[in-house]
Amino acid sequence: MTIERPHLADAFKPQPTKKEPVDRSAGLAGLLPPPRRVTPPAAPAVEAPAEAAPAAGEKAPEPKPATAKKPRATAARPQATETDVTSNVAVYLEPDLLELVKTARRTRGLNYDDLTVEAFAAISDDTLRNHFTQTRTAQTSGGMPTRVRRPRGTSGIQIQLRLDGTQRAWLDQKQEEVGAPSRSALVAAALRLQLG
Amino acid sequence: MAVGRTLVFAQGKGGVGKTTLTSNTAALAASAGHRVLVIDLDQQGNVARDLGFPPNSGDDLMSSLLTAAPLPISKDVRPNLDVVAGGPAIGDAASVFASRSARGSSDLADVLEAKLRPIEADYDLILIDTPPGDRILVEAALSVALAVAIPTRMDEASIDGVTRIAERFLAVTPRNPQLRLAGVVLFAISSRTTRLERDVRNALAETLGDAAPVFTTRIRHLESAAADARRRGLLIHELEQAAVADRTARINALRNKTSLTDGLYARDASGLAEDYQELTRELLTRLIEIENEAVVTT
Ligand SMILES: Nc1ncnc2c1ncn2[C@@H]1O[C@H](COP(=O)(O)OP(=O)(O)OP(=O)(O)O)[C@@H](O)[C@H]1O
Ligand SMILES: [Mg+2]
Repeated sequence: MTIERPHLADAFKPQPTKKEPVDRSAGLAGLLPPPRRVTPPAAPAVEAPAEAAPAAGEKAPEPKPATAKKPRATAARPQATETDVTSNVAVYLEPDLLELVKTARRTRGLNYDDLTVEAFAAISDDTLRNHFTQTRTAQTSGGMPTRVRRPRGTSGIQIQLRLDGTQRAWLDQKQEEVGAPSRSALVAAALRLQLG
Repeated sequence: MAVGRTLVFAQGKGGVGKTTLTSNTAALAASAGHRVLVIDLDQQGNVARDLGFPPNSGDDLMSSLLTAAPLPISKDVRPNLDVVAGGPAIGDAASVFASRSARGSSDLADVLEAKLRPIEADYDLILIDTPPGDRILVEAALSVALAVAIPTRMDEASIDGVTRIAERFLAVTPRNPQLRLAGVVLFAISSRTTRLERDVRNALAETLGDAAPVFTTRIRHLESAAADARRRGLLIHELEQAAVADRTARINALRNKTSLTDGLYARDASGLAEDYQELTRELLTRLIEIENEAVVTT
Protein backbone atom coordinates (compact mmCIF):
# COMPACT_ATOMS: atom_id res chain seq x y z
CA MET A 1 0.00 0.00 0.00
CA THR A 2 1.44 3.33 -0.96
CA ILE A 3 0.95 6.45 1.03
CA GLU A 4 -0.16 9.08 -1.38
CA ARG A 5 0.87 12.69 -1.31
CA PRO A 6 -1.89 15.07 -0.37
CA HIS A 7 -3.89 15.93 -3.44
CA LEU A 8 -3.94 19.67 -3.77
CA ALA A 9 -7.08 19.39 -5.83
CA ASP A 10 -8.90 18.14 -2.75
CA ALA A 11 -8.29 21.37 -0.93
CA PHE A 12 -10.05 23.43 -3.54
CA LYS A 13 -13.02 21.22 -4.09
CA PRO A 14 -16.29 21.99 -2.34
CA GLN A 15 -15.74 20.72 1.14
CA PRO A 16 -17.34 17.38 1.82
CA THR A 17 -17.74 18.16 5.51
CA LYS A 18 -20.70 20.32 4.71
CA LYS A 19 -22.47 17.24 3.45
CA GLU A 20 -25.00 15.75 5.80
CA PRO A 21 -23.59 12.52 7.17
CA VAL A 22 -25.27 9.64 5.38
CA ASP A 23 -27.44 7.49 7.54
CA ARG A 24 -26.42 3.98 6.58
CA SER A 25 -29.17 2.45 8.66
CA ALA A 26 -31.72 3.99 6.29
CA GLY A 27 -33.96 1.38 4.80
CA LEU A 28 -32.89 -1.29 7.28
CA ALA A 29 -35.23 -0.51 10.13
CA GLY A 30 -38.36 -2.57 10.21
CA LEU A 31 -37.00 -5.25 7.88
CA LEU A 32 -36.96 -7.78 10.67
CA PRO A 33 -40.27 -8.34 12.39
CA PRO A 34 -40.07 -9.42 16.02
CA PRO A 35 -38.54 -12.89 16.08
CA ARG A 36 -40.92 -15.76 16.29
CA ARG A 37 -40.16 -19.32 17.00
CA VAL A 38 -39.71 -21.11 13.76
CA THR A 39 -39.36 -24.32 15.69
CA PRO A 40 -42.08 -25.58 17.96
CA PRO A 41 -40.93 -24.51 21.43
CA ALA A 42 -39.17 -27.41 23.11
CA ALA A 43 -40.26 -26.34 26.56
CA PRO A 44 -43.00 -24.02 27.73
CA ALA A 45 -41.92 -20.47 27.03
CA VAL A 46 -39.57 -19.15 29.67
CA GLU A 47 -40.81 -16.31 31.80
CA ALA A 48 -40.78 -12.97 30.07
CA PRO A 49 -37.84 -11.31 31.79
CA ALA A 50 -38.10 -7.60 32.40
CA GLU A 51 -41.50 -6.97 30.97
CA ALA A 52 -43.95 -7.48 33.76
CA ALA A 53 -41.46 -6.69 36.43
CA PRO A 54 -41.49 -2.90 36.87
CA ALA A 55 -44.68 -3.14 38.87
CA ALA A 56 -43.30 -5.82 41.16
CA GLY A 57 -43.20 -4.72 44.75
CA GLU A 58 -45.03 -1.49 44.05
CA LYS A 59 -48.58 -0.45 43.76
CA ALA A 60 -49.78 -1.17 40.29
CA PRO A 61 -49.36 1.98 38.22
CA GLU A 62 -52.60 3.35 36.87
CA PRO A 63 -52.03 2.64 33.22
CA LYS A 64 -52.40 5.44 30.75
CA PRO A 65 -55.40 5.05 28.49
CA ALA A 66 -53.16 4.62 25.48
CA THR A 67 -51.53 1.53 26.85
CA ALA A 68 -54.43 0.21 28.85
CA LYS A 69 -56.41 -1.05 25.94
CA LYS A 70 -53.90 -3.71 25.00
CA PRO A 71 -53.30 -6.14 27.79
CA ARG A 72 -50.28 -8.30 27.11
CA ALA A 73 -50.89 -11.84 26.16
CA THR A 74 -49.25 -13.97 28.77
CA ALA A 75 -48.63 -17.31 27.14
CA ALA A 76 -48.28 -17.09 23.38
CA ARG A 77 -47.62 -13.92 21.50
CA PRO A 78 -49.67 -14.27 18.36
CA GLN A 79 -49.21 -10.79 16.91
CA ALA A 80 -46.89 -8.00 17.79
CA THR A 81 -48.85 -5.26 19.52
CA GLU A 82 -47.78 -1.68 20.21
CA THR A 83 -46.63 -2.66 23.65
CA ASP A 84 -44.63 -5.56 22.31
CA VAL A 85 -42.36 -3.37 20.29
CA THR A 86 -39.07 -3.25 22.07
CA SER A 87 -36.90 -0.29 21.43
CA ASN A 88 -33.88 1.45 22.79
CA VAL A 89 -34.03 3.95 25.56
CA ALA A 90 -30.84 5.91 26.07
CA VAL A 91 -29.86 6.65 29.63
CA TYR A 92 -26.97 8.87 30.55
CA LEU A 93 -24.98 7.92 33.61
CA GLU A 94 -22.30 9.89 35.38
CA PRO A 95 -18.99 8.02 35.21
CA ASP A 96 -18.99 6.94 38.86
CA LEU A 97 -22.52 5.62 38.58
CA LEU A 98 -21.67 3.82 35.37
CA GLU A 99 -18.87 2.06 37.27
CA LEU A 100 -21.30 1.00 39.99
CA VAL A 101 -23.76 -0.28 37.42
CA LYS A 102 -21.09 -2.17 35.53
CA THR A 103 -19.81 -3.77 38.71
CA ALA A 104 -23.31 -4.84 39.67
CA ARG A 105 -23.82 -6.24 36.21
CA ARG A 106 -20.59 -8.19 36.34
CA THR A 107 -20.82 -9.51 39.85
CA ARG A 108 -24.48 -10.39 39.73
CA GLY A 109 -24.81 -11.41 36.12
CA LEU A 110 -27.73 -9.05 35.49
CA ASN A 111 -28.08 -6.82 32.47
CA TYR A 112 -28.88 -3.10 32.57
CA ASP A 113 -32.57 -3.73 32.06
CA ASP A 114 -32.71 -6.13 35.00
CA LEU A 115 -30.84 -3.72 37.22
CA THR A 116 -33.22 -0.92 36.31
CA VAL A 117 -36.29 -3.01 37.00
CA GLU A 118 -34.79 -4.07 40.31
CA ALA A 119 -33.98 -0.50 41.30
CA PHE A 120 -37.53 0.66 40.65
CA ALA A 121 -38.91 -2.25 42.61
CA ALA A 122 -36.76 -1.35 45.60
CA ILE A 123 -37.12 2.42 45.70
CA SER A 124 -40.31 4.15 46.69
CA ASP A 125 -41.89 6.99 44.78
CA ASP A 126 -41.38 9.24 47.79
CA THR A 127 -37.66 8.68 47.77
CA LEU A 128 -37.56 9.48 44.09
CA ARG A 129 -39.75 12.54 44.53
CA ASN A 130 -37.48 13.81 47.33
CA HIS A 131 -34.47 13.24 45.18
CA PHE A 132 -35.80 15.45 42.42
CA THR A 133 -37.15 18.17 44.71
CA GLN A 134 -33.74 18.41 46.33
CA THR A 135 -31.90 18.77 43.07
CA ARG A 136 -34.30 21.50 42.03
CA THR A 137 -34.19 23.53 45.27
CA ALA A 138 -30.43 23.35 45.34
CA GLN A 139 -30.47 25.22 42.07
CA THR A 140 -33.09 27.81 42.90
CA SER A 141 -32.23 28.63 46.52
CA GLY A 142 -31.62 32.33 47.28
CA GLY A 143 -28.42 33.93 48.51
CA MET A 144 -25.15 32.94 47.11
CA PRO A 145 -25.86 30.22 44.59
CA THR A 146 -24.52 26.85 45.58
CA ARG A 147 -22.18 25.22 43.14
CA VAL A 148 -24.50 24.18 40.38
CA ARG A 149 -24.78 20.44 40.26
CA ARG A 150 -25.62 19.18 36.86
CA PRO A 151 -29.04 17.65 37.12
CA ARG A 152 -28.33 14.00 37.43
CA GLY A 153 -28.87 11.87 34.44
CA THR A 154 -28.65 14.58 31.84
CA SER A 155 -24.98 14.19 31.15
CA GLY A 156 -22.55 11.35 31.17
CA ILE A 157 -22.04 8.17 29.30
CA GLN A 158 -24.83 6.60 27.39
CA ILE A 159 -26.14 3.14 28.04
CA GLN A 160 -29.03 1.59 26.20
CA LEU A 161 -31.97 -0.11 27.80
CA ARG A 162 -34.18 -2.37 25.76
CA LEU A 163 -37.70 -1.61 26.85
CA ASP A 164 -41.07 -2.58 25.48
CA GLY A 165 -44.01 -0.25 25.12
CA THR A 166 -45.49 -1.09 28.49
CA GLN A 167 -42.21 -0.36 30.20
CA ARG A 168 -41.72 2.92 28.37
CA ALA A 169 -45.22 4.07 29.20
CA TRP A 170 -44.63 3.07 32.81
CA LEU A 171 -41.47 5.15 32.92
CA ASP A 172 -43.17 8.17 31.38
CA GLN A 173 -45.87 8.02 33.97
CA LYS A 174 -43.40 7.64 36.81
CA GLN A 175 -41.40 10.56 35.45
CA GLU A 176 -44.47 12.75 35.77
CA GLU A 177 -45.39 11.41 39.19
CA VAL A 178 -42.04 12.07 40.80
CA GLY A 179 -41.17 15.20 38.86
CA ALA A 180 -38.15 13.88 37.02
CA PRO A 181 -36.85 16.13 34.22
CA SER A 182 -36.47 13.22 31.79
CA ARG A 183 -36.72 9.47 31.45
CA SER A 184 -32.98 9.25 31.51
CA ALA A 185 -32.74 11.31 34.69
CA LEU A 186 -35.38 9.12 36.29
CA VAL A 187 -33.57 5.87 35.52
CA ALA A 188 -30.22 7.31 36.56
CA ALA A 189 -31.70 8.47 39.87
CA ALA A 190 -33.22 5.09 40.59
CA LEU A 191 -29.94 3.35 39.84
CA ARG A 192 -28.01 5.81 41.99
CA LEU A 193 -30.37 5.46 44.95
CA GLN A 194 -30.22 1.70 44.67
CA LEU A 195 -26.52 1.21 44.03
CA GLY A 196 -24.85 4.37 45.25
CA MET B 1 -32.78 -27.41 14.81
CA ALA B 2 -32.53 -23.78 13.88
CA VAL B 3 -32.34 -21.37 16.78
CA GLY B 4 -33.91 -17.95 16.54
CA ARG B 5 -33.12 -16.04 13.40
CA THR B 6 -29.59 -17.25 12.94
CA LEU B 7 -27.52 -16.55 9.87
CA VAL B 8 -24.09 -18.11 9.42
CA PHE B 9 -21.32 -16.86 7.17
CA ALA B 10 -19.31 -19.85 6.01
CA GLN B 11 -16.83 -20.66 3.25
CA GLY B 12 -14.28 -23.41 2.92
CA LYS B 13 -11.69 -20.93 1.70
CA GLY B 14 -10.00 -18.43 4.00
CA GLY B 15 -9.87 -14.68 3.51
CA VAL B 16 -13.07 -14.33 1.50
CA GLY B 17 -14.80 -11.84 3.79
CA LYS B 18 -16.70 -13.98 6.31
CA THR B 19 -15.61 -11.90 9.27
CA THR B 20 -15.81 -8.50 7.62
CA LEU B 21 -19.32 -9.28 6.39
CA THR B 22 -20.41 -10.60 9.77
CA SER B 23 -19.21 -7.50 11.62
CA ASN B 24 -20.48 -4.95 9.15
CA THR B 25 -23.91 -6.40 8.48
CA ALA B 26 -24.39 -6.99 12.20
CA ALA B 27 -23.52 -3.42 13.09
CA LEU B 28 -25.66 -1.95 10.32
CA ALA B 29 -28.66 -4.02 11.34
CA ALA B 30 -28.09 -3.01 14.95
CA SER B 31 -27.81 0.66 14.02
CA ALA B 32 -31.25 0.40 12.46
CA GLY B 33 -32.64 -0.69 15.82
CA HIS B 34 -32.57 -4.46 15.49
CA ARG B 35 -31.21 -6.39 18.44
CA VAL B 36 -28.22 -8.30 17.13
CA LEU B 37 -25.90 -10.92 18.56
CA VAL B 38 -22.64 -11.87 16.86
CA ILE B 39 -20.92 -15.10 17.77
CA ASP B 40 -17.32 -15.50 16.71
CA LEU B 41 -16.52 -19.21 16.41
CA ASP B 42 -13.09 -18.57 14.96
CA GLN B 43 -9.85 -18.98 16.86
CA GLN B 44 -8.48 -15.97 15.00
CA GLY B 45 -10.97 -13.84 16.93
CA ASN B 46 -11.08 -11.21 14.19
CA VAL B 47 -14.55 -9.99 15.04
CA ALA B 48 -13.01 -8.26 18.06
CA ARG B 49 -10.55 -6.52 15.79
CA ASP B 50 -13.28 -5.33 13.43
CA LEU B 51 -15.30 -3.94 16.31
CA GLY B 52 -12.32 -2.35 17.98
CA PHE B 53 -11.99 -4.22 21.20
CA PRO B 54 -8.91 -6.06 22.50
CA PRO B 55 -8.15 -9.59 21.31
CA ASN B 56 -9.88 -12.24 23.34
CA SER B 57 -8.37 -15.53 24.50
CA GLY B 58 -11.56 -17.40 23.67
CA ASP B 59 -11.29 -19.06 27.09
CA ASP B 60 -14.67 -17.82 28.26
CA LEU B 61 -16.44 -19.10 25.19
CA MET B 62 -14.63 -22.42 25.36
CA SER B 63 -15.40 -22.93 29.02
CA SER B 64 -19.01 -21.98 28.45
CA LEU B 65 -19.19 -24.72 25.83
CA LEU B 66 -17.69 -27.23 28.24
CA THR B 67 -19.66 -26.32 31.35
CA ALA B 68 -23.10 -25.16 32.37
CA ALA B 69 -22.02 -21.52 32.15
CA PRO B 70 -24.04 -19.32 29.79
CA LEU B 71 -22.40 -17.87 26.71
CA PRO B 72 -20.06 -14.98 27.59
CA ILE B 73 -21.96 -12.13 25.99
CA SER B 74 -20.37 -8.68 25.82
CA LYS B 75 -23.34 -6.37 25.82
CA ASP B 76 -23.76 -3.28 23.70
CA VAL B 77 -20.36 -3.13 22.02
CA ARG B 78 -22.36 -0.81 19.79
CA PRO B 79 -25.94 0.19 20.56
CA ASN B 80 -28.05 -2.96 20.11
CA LEU B 81 -25.05 -5.09 19.27
CA ASP B 82 -23.87 -7.85 21.58
CA VAL B 83 -20.91 -10.11 20.92
CA VAL B 84 -19.61 -13.48 22.00
CA ALA B 85 -15.90 -13.20 21.32
CA GLY B 86 -13.86 -15.99 19.81
CA GLY B 87 -10.14 -16.54 20.23
CA PRO B 88 -7.34 -19.11 20.32
CA ALA B 89 -8.99 -21.40 22.89
CA ILE B 90 -11.76 -22.20 20.38
CA GLY B 91 -9.12 -23.94 18.30
CA ASP B 92 -9.35 -26.82 20.76
CA ALA B 93 -13.09 -27.23 20.36
CA ALA B 94 -12.83 -29.60 17.43
CA SER B 95 -10.60 -32.14 19.13
CA VAL B 96 -12.31 -31.88 22.51
CA PHE B 97 -15.74 -32.39 21.04
CA ALA B 98 -14.62 -35.08 18.65
CA SER B 99 -13.49 -37.23 21.57
CA ARG B 100 -16.54 -36.28 23.59
CA SER B 101 -19.03 -37.37 21.01
CA ALA B 102 -17.00 -40.54 20.48
CA ARG B 103 -17.76 -41.24 24.13
CA GLY B 104 -21.41 -40.64 23.45
CA SER B 105 -21.82 -37.32 25.18
CA SER B 106 -23.43 -34.39 23.47
CA ASP B 107 -21.62 -32.95 20.50
CA LEU B 108 -20.80 -29.32 19.82
CA ALA B 109 -23.96 -28.72 17.81
CA ASP B 110 -26.13 -29.90 20.71
CA VAL B 111 -24.22 -27.73 23.13
CA LEU B 112 -24.46 -24.66 20.94
CA GLU B 113 -28.17 -25.17 20.49
CA ALA B 114 -28.67 -25.55 24.24
CA LYS B 115 -26.72 -22.37 24.94
CA LEU B 116 -28.60 -20.34 22.36
CA ARG B 117 -32.12 -21.56 22.99
CA PRO B 118 -32.65 -19.57 26.21
CA ILE B 119 -31.54 -16.30 24.61
CA GLU B 120 -33.00 -16.65 21.11
CA ALA B 121 -35.95 -14.40 21.96
CA ASP B 122 -33.59 -11.62 23.04
CA TYR B 123 -32.41 -11.03 19.49
CA ASP B 124 -33.92 -10.09 16.17
CA LEU B 125 -30.86 -11.47 14.45
CA ILE B 126 -28.01 -13.78 15.40
CA LEU B 127 -24.96 -13.87 13.14
CA ILE B 128 -22.24 -16.49 13.43
CA ASP B 129 -18.77 -16.07 11.97
CA THR B 130 -17.02 -19.36 11.28
CA PRO B 131 -13.42 -20.39 10.69
CA PRO B 132 -12.36 -21.36 7.17
CA GLY B 133 -11.53 -25.00 7.66
CA ASP B 134 -12.83 -26.48 10.85
CA ARG B 135 -15.48 -29.06 10.00
CA ILE B 136 -16.86 -29.51 13.51
CA LEU B 137 -17.23 -25.82 14.24
CA VAL B 138 -18.76 -25.04 10.86
CA GLU B 139 -21.22 -27.91 11.10
CA ALA B 140 -22.20 -26.89 14.62
CA ALA B 141 -22.94 -23.37 13.40
CA LEU B 142 -24.97 -24.71 10.49
CA SER B 143 -26.89 -26.98 12.86
CA VAL B 144 -28.40 -24.01 14.64
CA ALA B 145 -28.85 -21.76 11.61
CA LEU B 146 -31.85 -20.77 9.62
CA ALA B 147 -29.63 -19.81 6.72
CA VAL B 148 -26.06 -19.72 5.52
CA ALA B 149 -24.53 -17.03 3.35
CA ILE B 150 -21.42 -17.89 1.39
CA PRO B 151 -18.99 -15.12 0.51
CA THR B 152 -16.56 -15.59 -2.29
CA ARG B 153 -13.91 -13.73 -4.21
CA MET B 154 -13.69 -14.41 -7.90
CA ASP B 155 -10.67 -16.71 -8.00
CA GLU B 156 -11.11 -20.39 -8.76
CA ALA B 157 -10.08 -21.50 -5.29
CA SER B 158 -12.72 -19.35 -3.63
CA ILE B 159 -15.37 -20.53 -6.03
CA ASP B 160 -14.39 -24.13 -5.24
CA GLY B 161 -14.92 -23.21 -1.60
CA VAL B 162 -18.57 -22.56 -2.35
CA THR B 163 -19.05 -26.18 -3.32
CA ARG B 164 -17.24 -27.34 -0.21
CA ILE B 165 -19.83 -25.57 1.91
CA ALA B 166 -22.50 -27.37 -0.05
CA GLU B 167 -21.06 -30.63 1.32
CA ARG B 168 -21.21 -29.34 4.89
CA PHE B 169 -24.72 -28.21 4.19
CA LEU B 170 -25.82 -31.69 3.16
CA ALA B 171 -24.14 -33.22 6.19
CA VAL B 172 -26.16 -31.00 8.49
CA THR B 173 -29.63 -31.08 6.93
CA PRO B 174 -30.70 -34.35 8.63
CA ARG B 175 -30.40 -32.69 12.02
CA ASN B 176 -31.41 -29.22 10.87
CA PRO B 177 -33.92 -29.58 8.05
CA GLN B 178 -34.74 -25.87 8.24
CA LEU B 179 -31.32 -24.79 7.04
CA ARG B 180 -31.45 -22.88 3.76
CA LEU B 181 -28.86 -21.28 1.58
CA ALA B 182 -29.35 -17.53 1.80
CA GLY B 183 -27.12 -16.87 -1.16
CA VAL B 184 -23.65 -16.09 -2.37
CA VAL B 185 -21.98 -12.74 -1.74
CA LEU B 186 -19.32 -11.50 -4.13
CA PHE B 187 -16.59 -9.93 -2.02
CA ALA B 188 -13.74 -7.53 -2.81
CA ILE B 189 -14.71 -7.14 -6.43
CA SER B 190 -12.77 -4.73 -8.57
CA SER B 191 -14.71 -2.38 -10.81
CA ARG B 192 -12.27 -3.19 -13.58
CA THR B 193 -13.40 -6.79 -13.94
CA THR B 194 -16.96 -6.45 -15.09
CA ARG B 195 -16.71 -9.21 -17.69
CA LEU B 196 -15.17 -11.57 -15.19
CA GLU B 197 -17.84 -10.67 -12.67
CA ARG B 198 -20.56 -11.40 -15.18
CA ASP B 199 -19.09 -14.79 -16.01
CA VAL B 200 -18.64 -15.70 -12.36
CA ARG B 201 -22.20 -14.67 -11.60
CA ASN B 202 -23.48 -16.81 -14.42
CA ALA B 203 -21.41 -19.80 -13.37
CA LEU B 204 -22.57 -19.48 -9.78
CA ALA B 205 -26.19 -18.96 -10.79
CA GLU B 206 -26.00 -22.16 -12.76
CA THR B 207 -24.55 -24.08 -9.83
CA LEU B 208 -27.10 -22.70 -7.39
CA GLY B 209 -30.10 -23.15 -9.64
CA ASP B 210 -33.20 -21.87 -7.94
CA ALA B 211 -31.91 -22.78 -4.48
CA ALA B 212 -30.53 -19.33 -3.79
CA PRO B 213 -29.49 -16.09 -5.40
CA VAL B 214 -26.12 -14.55 -6.00
CA PHE B 215 -26.81 -11.27 -4.23
CA THR B 216 -27.06 -8.31 -6.58
CA THR B 217 -24.93 -6.13 -4.34
CA ARG B 218 -21.26 -6.99 -4.40
CA ILE B 219 -18.72 -5.63 -1.97
CA ARG B 220 -16.27 -3.56 -3.91
CA HIS B 221 -12.52 -3.98 -3.70
CA LEU B 222 -11.09 -1.26 -1.48
CA GLU B 223 -8.07 -2.48 0.37
CA SER B 224 -7.21 0.91 1.83
CA ALA B 225 -10.54 1.09 3.62
CA ALA B 226 -10.27 -2.52 4.78
CA ALA B 227 -6.85 -1.77 6.27
CA ASP B 228 -8.05 1.42 7.96
CA ALA B 229 -11.10 -0.30 9.35
CA ARG B 230 -9.17 -3.09 11.07
CA ARG B 231 -6.40 -0.77 12.20
CA ARG B 232 -8.85 1.61 13.81
CA GLY B 233 -11.44 -0.92 14.95
CA LEU B 234 -14.10 0.83 12.92
CA LEU B 235 -16.84 -0.59 10.79
CA ILE B 236 -17.02 0.67 7.25
CA HIS B 237 -19.92 3.05 7.86
CA GLU B 238 -18.03 4.42 10.85
CA LEU B 239 -14.93 4.76 8.74
CA GLU B 240 -16.99 6.70 6.22
CA GLN B 241 -17.58 9.34 8.88
CA ALA B 242 -13.98 9.20 10.04
CA ALA B 243 -12.80 9.74 6.47
CA VAL B 244 -14.77 12.96 6.27
CA ALA B 245 -13.14 14.19 9.47
CA ASP B 246 -9.78 13.02 8.17
CA ARG B 247 -10.21 15.01 4.99
CA THR B 248 -10.88 18.12 6.99
CA ALA B 249 -7.77 17.42 9.03
CA ARG B 250 -5.76 16.94 5.84
CA ILE B 251 -6.97 20.21 4.45
CA ASN B 252 -6.19 22.02 7.68
CA ALA B 253 -2.76 20.41 7.82
CA LEU B 254 -2.18 21.60 4.30
CA ARG B 255 -3.25 25.13 5.14
CA ASN B 256 -1.15 25.24 8.27
CA LYS B 257 1.75 23.54 6.53
CA THR B 258 1.87 20.85 9.19
CA SER B 259 1.99 17.18 8.48
CA LEU B 260 -0.59 14.63 9.31
CA THR B 261 0.85 11.74 11.28
CA ASP B 262 -1.95 9.22 11.57
CA GLY B 263 -4.12 9.81 8.56
CA LEU B 264 -6.32 7.24 6.91
CA TYR B 265 -5.37 5.42 3.75
CA ALA B 266 -8.90 5.62 2.46
CA ARG B 267 -10.00 9.04 1.34
CA ASP B 268 -13.57 8.12 0.89
CA ALA B 269 -15.30 5.01 2.15
CA SER B 270 -18.78 6.04 1.15
CA GLY B 271 -19.08 3.75 -1.87
CA LEU B 272 -18.05 0.77 0.19
CA ALA B 273 -20.34 1.82 3.04
CA GLU B 274 -23.17 1.98 0.56
CA ASP B 275 -22.36 -1.55 -0.63
CA TYR B 276 -22.69 -2.82 2.93
CA GLN B 277 -25.91 -0.94 3.44
CA GLU B 278 -27.42 -2.40 0.28
CA LEU B 279 -26.14 -5.88 0.95
CA THR B 280 -27.51 -5.81 4.49
CA ARG B 281 -30.87 -4.86 3.07
CA GLU B 282 -30.75 -7.78 0.65
CA LEU B 283 -29.61 -10.21 3.31
CA LEU B 284 -32.28 -9.27 5.84
CA THR B 285 -34.98 -9.38 3.21
CA ARG B 286 -33.83 -12.80 2.09
CA LEU B 287 -33.70 -14.03 5.65
CA ILE B 288 -37.31 -13.08 6.26
CA GLU B 289 -38.28 -14.74 3.00
CA ILE B 290 -36.64 -17.94 4.25
CA GLU B 291 -38.27 -17.62 7.63
CA ASN B 292 -41.70 -17.23 6.09
CA GLU B 293 -41.17 -20.28 3.90
CA ALA B 294 -40.16 -22.24 6.96
CA VAL B 295 -43.37 -21.28 8.74
CA VAL B 296 -45.50 -22.30 5.82
CA THR B 297 -43.90 -25.71 5.49
CA THR B 298 -43.84 -26.67 9.15
N1 LIG C 1 -13.51 -4.27 0.41
C1 LIG C 1 -12.36 -4.95 0.49
N2 LIG C 1 -11.51 -4.98 -0.54
C2 LIG C 1 -10.35 -5.67 -0.47
N3 LIG C 1 -9.97 -6.39 0.61
C3 LIG C 1 -10.78 -6.40 1.67
C4 LIG C 1 -12.00 -5.68 1.67
N4 LIG C 1 -12.59 -5.88 2.88
C5 LIG C 1 -11.77 -6.65 3.59
N5 LIG C 1 -10.67 -6.98 2.88
C6 LIG C 1 -9.55 -7.83 3.31
O1 LIG C 1 -9.86 -9.16 3.07
C7 LIG C 1 -9.19 -10.00 4.00
C8 LIG C 1 -10.09 -11.09 4.49
O2 LIG C 1 -11.21 -10.57 5.12
P1 LIG C 1 -11.91 -11.39 6.29
O3 LIG C 1 -11.03 -11.53 7.46
O4 LIG C 1 -13.24 -10.78 6.49
O5 LIG C 1 -12.10 -12.82 5.61
P2 LIG C 1 -12.44 -14.21 6.30
O6 LIG C 1 -13.14 -15.03 5.30
O7 LIG C 1 -13.11 -13.99 7.59
O8 LIG C 1 -11.00 -14.80 6.58
P3 LIG C 1 -10.64 -16.09 7.46
O9 LIG C 1 -11.03 -17.25 6.62
O10 LIG C 1 -9.18 -16.00 7.68
O11 LIG C 1 -11.42 -16.00 8.72
C9 LIG C 1 -8.70 -9.08 5.09
O12 LIG C 1 -7.32 -9.00 4.98
C10 LIG C 1 -9.32 -7.77 4.79
O13 LIG C 1 -8.46 -6.71 5.11
MG1 LIG D 1 -12.60 -14.67 9.52
